[in-house]
Amino acid sequence: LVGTFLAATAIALLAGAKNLGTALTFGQIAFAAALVAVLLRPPWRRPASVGREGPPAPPPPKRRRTRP
Amino acid sequence: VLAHIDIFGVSIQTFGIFFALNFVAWGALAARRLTELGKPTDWAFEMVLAAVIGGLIGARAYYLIQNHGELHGSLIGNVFGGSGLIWYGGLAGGTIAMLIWARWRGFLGLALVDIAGPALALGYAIGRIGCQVAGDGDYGKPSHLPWAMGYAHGTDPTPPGVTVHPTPIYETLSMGLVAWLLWRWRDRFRPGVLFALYLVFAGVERFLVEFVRRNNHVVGGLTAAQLESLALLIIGVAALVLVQRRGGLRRPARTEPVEVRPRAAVAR
Repeated sequence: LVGTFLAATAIALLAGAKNLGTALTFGQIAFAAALVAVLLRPPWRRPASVGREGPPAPPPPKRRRTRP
Repeated sequence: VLAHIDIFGVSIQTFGIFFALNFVAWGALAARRLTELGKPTDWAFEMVLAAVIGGLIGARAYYLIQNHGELHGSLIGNVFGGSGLIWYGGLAGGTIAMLIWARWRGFLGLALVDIAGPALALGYAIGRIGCQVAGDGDYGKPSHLPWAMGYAHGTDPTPPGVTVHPTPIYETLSMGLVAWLLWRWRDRFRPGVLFALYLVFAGVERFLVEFVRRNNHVVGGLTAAQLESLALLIIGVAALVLVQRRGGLRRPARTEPVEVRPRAAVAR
């Protein structure tokens, strides 16, 4: 996402954007488009390590100290 | 800055385009989550419709309440006239409409609010592009940073030669990353935690960005949006503490199904 933002900003600057703020606006739009693509990516195109892997196992319960 | 575009002779406000895209995006995200939860995907469209109607009424009503001193003419004319939408009013109106819809559908619960967390963050990130492109006055204070810019042709233009903080860009980036993070965490936490985290993140983000925005101070050097952000933050943290005390934030680990035998058979 950050890479998309930076790349779009750089391309806008190279293409003659009026100032850095204007170039960042193109980066902002590209960032949002990439974000939507990432979030709405179909499950079968998602890496196995992302999203639906299920929660990790919780730590074992602490034992209470009992007085002798 | 491009306040409106002409398509076949029809002038369309760019803010309106991104406002609509915000609802399309979070509706699509809600549909994806509903599918994962085994609920009808059509519900996403109903949710969007309810949120649009409630959100517009709330955003407009809040604007009219905040600016009642500056309004002139008839009440009806002010309600349906021109610009003037406030995010927190829209959030309140949309929330009320969604609750009514959820009660009607029998889906009123923590699963619903957890869907809303990442979806709201995504919608906010996209909606802010509309603010940036239209130059509608949601920009920041004057600045001479390298990325400061002027909005001379915006719907609420900056004075000639003045450059300001492009705060809508800051907000899109920050809330976009929040949406991404919350979406990744959607199966990690117990019900309600995701929305509580959204409240915390959204509150912190808006509280911080207000320091470089041009809104007026209301109490103690803080703006109205900062006070509302603090309220969101406090509610979010309180919800997290409550869930933590009731068994922890994390969802319990999945276990293999246990075969249950009748008690009488065990006794023998």
